[in-house]
Amino acid sequence: MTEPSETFHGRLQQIIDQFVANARAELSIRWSAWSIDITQPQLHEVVGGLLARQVTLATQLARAPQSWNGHVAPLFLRSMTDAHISLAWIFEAPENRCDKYVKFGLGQKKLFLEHWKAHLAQSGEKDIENHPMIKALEAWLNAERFHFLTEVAVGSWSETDTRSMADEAGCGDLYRFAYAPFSAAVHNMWHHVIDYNLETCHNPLHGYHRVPADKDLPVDPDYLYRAAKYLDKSFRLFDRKTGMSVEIQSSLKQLVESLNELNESLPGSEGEEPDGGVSDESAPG
Amino acid sequence: MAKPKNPRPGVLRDHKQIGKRFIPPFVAQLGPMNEVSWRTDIIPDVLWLALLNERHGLIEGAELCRQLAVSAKGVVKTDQLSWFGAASTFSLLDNTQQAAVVAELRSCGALDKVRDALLAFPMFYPACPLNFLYEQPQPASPDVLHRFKTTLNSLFDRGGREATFAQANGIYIAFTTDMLKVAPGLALANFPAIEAFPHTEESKTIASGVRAAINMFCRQDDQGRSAAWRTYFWKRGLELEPCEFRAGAPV
Repeated sequence: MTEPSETFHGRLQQIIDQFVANARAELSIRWSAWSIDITQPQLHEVVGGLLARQVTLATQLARAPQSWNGHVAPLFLRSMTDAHISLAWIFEAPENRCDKYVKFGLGQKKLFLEHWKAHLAQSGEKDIENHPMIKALEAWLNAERFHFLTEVAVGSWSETDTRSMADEAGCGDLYRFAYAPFSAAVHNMWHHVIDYNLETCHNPLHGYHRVPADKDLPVDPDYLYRAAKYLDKSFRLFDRKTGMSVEIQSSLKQLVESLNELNESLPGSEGEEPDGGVSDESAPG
Repeated sequence: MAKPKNPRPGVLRDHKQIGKRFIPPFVAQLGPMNEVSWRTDIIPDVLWLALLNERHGLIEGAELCRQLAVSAKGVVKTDQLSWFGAASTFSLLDNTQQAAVVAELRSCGALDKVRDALLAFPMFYPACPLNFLYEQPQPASPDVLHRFKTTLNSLFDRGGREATFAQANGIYIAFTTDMLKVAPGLALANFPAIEAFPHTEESKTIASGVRAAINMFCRQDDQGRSAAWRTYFWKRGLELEPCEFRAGAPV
């Protein structure tokens, strides 16, 4: 006889697998439908690459239910909001901004190469130029752009801050209600550490001090929902900006339906409004 | 596309902007403040006031606090004004002065009641400045510690009833030892009305004035007495018992 818990986990795994397949299908159909100008590959590669990055972040999070919690999920989700804001900002002036994005990235890789050279020199390495790491990095760089022609910038790639980018691109709420709050986990800030890595001692003799903690948290499917939501946001942004219309069901919509069905099938949920673990899509962030 | 000037008007509009910092209006008006922690810095000094209230009720508790403080003030011969609302102030007393205070409390019938209320100090805090009230070591009692913890716990809510009346005792001491004079019309001018706390608006206003005054008394220069006592108090708490967690130890 099948254990109820196995059925639940089995069904959840099916939902996850279906979401991954749907997300990849949405990317694939859009890429196929997009009219590509091979003489100007940069735009398509940057936009397509960022969209694929969104799919990767969403599907990797989806495949790791143990990370659907406040410790780890924000690391993925903040990256997703950052990718969306970058994509939206790039779309406002694609040619110029794709170029900025690419050249900044190459400059960062060059900076990494130079740090390695300095490190090897400091370590007493005799033949730096033929060191495998140096050769590999230079080969990678030179395949993109000769490293001796590559500029290195150490500020922000967009030469402005993320908040300004978001406001300009019309996703200021995403910045304020998702990017900024999730940044607390990414940067290990105090207001995250208080809630997630400290436990209050309730002995009054100790003045209610807090002690370090590595807390086990329950799996919260809301984080999966958010990943699907941000991915869907990026797909719809792409459709708007490219004028594209594709015939494919939204991976977000399918996920929400499947999770709600699963929730309704749980013992004790008959006749109740599904809480479903999924949030109101109209809420900011 | 032009950068919006203020994409979300109203957010922090009442704050003063200095570079990338937004200063709350209260702080902007008053300037930088020296902060005092109620929990860490003040509770250890006013806990004895709450213990007397808990054991003997608010009226008798206040009177016992006053008697002890007035008695101590009476034997200290110094030009410096010392507020005997703080437990740490009692470390000013030398042996002779301590004996005089004990004798006076005994003669007015207050000594046993004071000792009964403050029993946890000699039992569990051997270096407490108030332990001169006891002649002999006191064997540890779990019941006494439990009551002590309950009273201590009630003080963490500074605006709560127990904490308010403990602080009120401190201000009562200030009034009756000539450390505090208040002009008519100020919150503390009708101090006795605090007995109605928290059921009247006037008592809440007075309580607010009490809290402000307690901060003032606790910040006066005491040559490190308060710091020494509170450091000892919290350190001793860690020695007495382990941490308590609602859901099991985190590490």
